[in-house]
Amino acid sequence: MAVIETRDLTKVYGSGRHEVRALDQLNLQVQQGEIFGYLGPNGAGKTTTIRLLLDLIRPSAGSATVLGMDAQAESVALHKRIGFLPGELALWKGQTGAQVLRLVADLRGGVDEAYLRELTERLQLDLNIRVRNYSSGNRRKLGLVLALMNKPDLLVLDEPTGGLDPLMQQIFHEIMFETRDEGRSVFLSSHLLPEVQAICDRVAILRQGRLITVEQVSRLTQVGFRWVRLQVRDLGALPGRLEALDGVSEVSVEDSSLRLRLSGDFDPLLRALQDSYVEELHVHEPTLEEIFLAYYGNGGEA
Amino acid sequence: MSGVLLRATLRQHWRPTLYWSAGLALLGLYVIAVIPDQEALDNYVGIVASMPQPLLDAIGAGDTLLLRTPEGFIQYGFATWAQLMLAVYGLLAGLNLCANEEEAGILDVLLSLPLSRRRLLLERFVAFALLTLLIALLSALGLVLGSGATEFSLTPATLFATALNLVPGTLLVMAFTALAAAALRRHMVATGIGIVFVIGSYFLDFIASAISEGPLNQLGRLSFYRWSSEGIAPGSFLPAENLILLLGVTLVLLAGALWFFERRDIGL
Repeated sequence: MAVIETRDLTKVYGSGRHEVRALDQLNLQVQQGEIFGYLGPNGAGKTTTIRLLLDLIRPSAGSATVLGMDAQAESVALHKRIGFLPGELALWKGQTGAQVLRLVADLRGGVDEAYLRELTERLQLDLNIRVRNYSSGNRRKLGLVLALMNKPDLLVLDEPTGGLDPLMQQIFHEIMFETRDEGRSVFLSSHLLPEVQAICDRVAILRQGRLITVEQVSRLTQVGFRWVRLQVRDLGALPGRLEALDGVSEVSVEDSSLRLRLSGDFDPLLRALQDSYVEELHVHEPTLEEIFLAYYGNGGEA
Repeated sequence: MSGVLLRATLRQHWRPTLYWSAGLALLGLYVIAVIPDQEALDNYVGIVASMPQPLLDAIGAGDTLLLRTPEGFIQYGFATWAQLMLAVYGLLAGLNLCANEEEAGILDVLLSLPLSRRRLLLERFVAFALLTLLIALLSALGLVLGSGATEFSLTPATLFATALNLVPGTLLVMAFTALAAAALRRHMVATGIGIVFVIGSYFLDFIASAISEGPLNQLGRLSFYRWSSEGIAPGSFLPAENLILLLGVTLVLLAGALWFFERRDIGL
């Protein structure tokens, strides 16, 4: 079952010469029980998508269904089942963390106090401090507690770990896995690719308001290309010969070591190496960041 | 309405409300303290009456006979200025309904909760209406305390009526500012328009009152200050006609604010 489904969702700001197409005909499905990463550089349309899903802004065209409800017409009922952490969390600066939690809990209704205490303890959050005196990391923790407090069916998190130290990031990852294990879903926008790689099941890549691809994180890292590093006793004319092969590119030489990017099968490369004495051969899967850059570098074609 | 946001708003704003109340109560105390007896009142009015008649009309002191009564003097000395001050409070409260939190980004968090935009605006409006009422009541206490030091027999009901008459005009300013903020989104623009409305209305009434008759005088009827003061027998409540008009316009403006707020994008 899809917990998020958008159909040609479009958001246009301004008009005429000042028109900006922030999101262009987005068709996206996020399934129940998955952690879904939403990737893209600044201005790609990530936050616009989130704001549309939460009915903070209204679509210029298209529609969105969240948890089976219309994101606009049934927003109040929908928000009972959603936890949201904005990218830039703003709260009442003169209130303490406890006062903010109380207000949000009262507005939500039915919040499990024991779970609330467990969350604040796990995230080591002091609630007796005024919001204006929280560090950016502690403010982020408070935002996470606000988003998680009602055990929502869907978590919508915009850059959730910015400002969190590595230990807290680890705890955050654990909480995300627990959420998934309970059959709940997470929609997570981030530019921290290792984080997305570590916790997400699927990822969508967005560019200039357009969806470039949606892929399993595991498959995304397997498809496309690999990096090959060779230690060869006598390089000679080998770099030139390899560069001429189909699927081989970006050949570089460093001392007696040779690095190249390989797309497709290994066989042509291995045949080209049969007259060389290969001391070492290392194959590296590209990081998500490299795949991400490849998408952008090639106009969306990896 | 569950009232959660209403109670939270009252909790968050009780302190500034007390400051406003104290300021207005001190004004009331001062206005009564300068007229301990009829002789002092006559002397004071004698000085005021030396001004040109159009200017007297403009500042609401045109009827010097009325001014020689303590109720008339309080209407001129307290209510006129208190209404101007409360109009500023109404403007600030109008911005607090949604514009300030939208500017700060807090509205993103609030509206991601199970809270409709309508409920947000209405609960906030009711909360600030109650706070306005509290300011009026506490400022009336200043008048009551001051009256104890005079030889005049002013009933508390008279003094409370004078203070409570300030509430409808304040609510109208609040609703106007909320409408400006809901329709125009930009905080600075809404603030500017609210200021122009408050000051513009004051000067419209000021200038129109200086002209005793004719179409220019009738222009003053566009000002909420006129409806907050015209036709009031000193020490009594607003005439029903004025009250209905002020509250009616307030409701129309509030409905307009709701209409815009429910249909537009938040933030950005």
